Amino acid sequence: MTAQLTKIRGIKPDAIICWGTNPGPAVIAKNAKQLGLKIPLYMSHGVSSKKFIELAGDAAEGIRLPSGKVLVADVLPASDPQKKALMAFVKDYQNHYKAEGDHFGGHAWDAVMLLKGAFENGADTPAAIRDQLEKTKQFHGIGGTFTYSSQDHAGLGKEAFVLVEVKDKDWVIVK
Amino acid sequence: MQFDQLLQYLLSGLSTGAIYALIGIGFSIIYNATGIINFAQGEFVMLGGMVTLLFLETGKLPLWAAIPCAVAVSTASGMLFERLAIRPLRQPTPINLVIITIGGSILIRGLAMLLWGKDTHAIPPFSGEEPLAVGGATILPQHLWILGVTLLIIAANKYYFYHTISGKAMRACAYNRRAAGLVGIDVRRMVLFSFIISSAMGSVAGIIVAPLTMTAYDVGIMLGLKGFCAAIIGGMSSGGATVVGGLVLGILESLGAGLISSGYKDAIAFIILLLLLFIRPQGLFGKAQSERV
Repeated sequence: MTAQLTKIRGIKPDAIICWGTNPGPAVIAKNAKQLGLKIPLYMSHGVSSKKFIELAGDAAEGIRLPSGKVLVADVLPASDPQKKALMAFVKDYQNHYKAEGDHFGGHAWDAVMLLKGAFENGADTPAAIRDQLEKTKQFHGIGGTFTYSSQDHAGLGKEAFVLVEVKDKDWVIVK
Repeated sequence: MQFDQLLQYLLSGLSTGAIYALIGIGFSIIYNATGIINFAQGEFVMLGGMVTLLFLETGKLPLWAAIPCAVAVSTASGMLFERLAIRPLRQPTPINLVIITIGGSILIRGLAMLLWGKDTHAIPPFSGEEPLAVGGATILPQHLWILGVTLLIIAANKYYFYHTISGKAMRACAYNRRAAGLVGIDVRRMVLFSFIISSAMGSVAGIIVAPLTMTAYDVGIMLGLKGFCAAIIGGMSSGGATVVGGLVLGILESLGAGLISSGYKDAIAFIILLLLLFIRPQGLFGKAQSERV
């Protein structure tokens, strides 16, 4: 990707946003370091797993990205409503798969748990399942705290995300 | 546009081009010995990187030991491929053989996916990641490794084909298989040799590029096609013309991505490939009906 980054360097931007999933962003991180780019490099939640830090190595240092809170579950304040769910998920994931849990597995976990809730409330047809899901309020999942309605099928607000930065091969929260 | 920008495009293009050249020569060597295009060539490139990783992480070997082991394993799989898939064929028409190599490449890719999963992996660079300044451009020590290793392999290749008996025998097969057989050259052995050399070269290409571009079970497809393109530009020669083909391709891609749009980076290679196949199937430098060695 040095050719693209050289072109970008030529027009002197204030920052670079790289939106993608591995391995592309890891290559870009390495190439940016090779070219000596000093401007901030922002990436997407598509690389918010330890795999990215492992692939990009030292070049990952200082890169910032928005991410779900699961990456930084252990350093969240105890007052965070998601804290309990996140800590349990990270621990169970580690015990079961012997790997670090990230939000990729977390999304599937949320989906299954939301469905479980709908079933337990007696939904048994597609329309009934939908109606039950739309009644979900304040579900503290891994991807965020979900509150659905018939208008809102995304269910998340801005507070579901934190801005993280790679520091010493780990994630820290940017305040 | 500034000069240092242009220099950066050229240097980036050269190192990618060197990889294409190595893979392209692998295509040509097999083509010259057997008359077929081995579409499994890219898979040996993938095997080089992935097997190195296996020795590094599972075998706990240091890098300098893991690399020769990986080349040996990839070369052995190239030999096996020739023995099990190419040689037993009762009607070795080119179309049958080419289809078999495509089947073989899908099989190797599938096995690699089952064995190593779909994740991308990184191999540590051979000597650090400190960028080196060249003029106004920067390169990594790994780029020097790529250029150096490529030069070395091309020189060794040249020596083999022009100064050893078995190399000359292989060239004889390329000129005329039947006549080579009549003067006592074991053509089937030469075919096996050609697979050994190409899979070894392919795997080396896969290893030296892995620290820069990462590796995964499916990197062989694209690298293989680019190598094929280099070989076509070079008119399927196993010498200088294919090297030039690879370098030209690498530089054009890099300039195209930098000056036009990165969306066309891969398209550039394939447009060149199609144009050449339509207009100059003998290669950019070859005369029609030239001898391909």
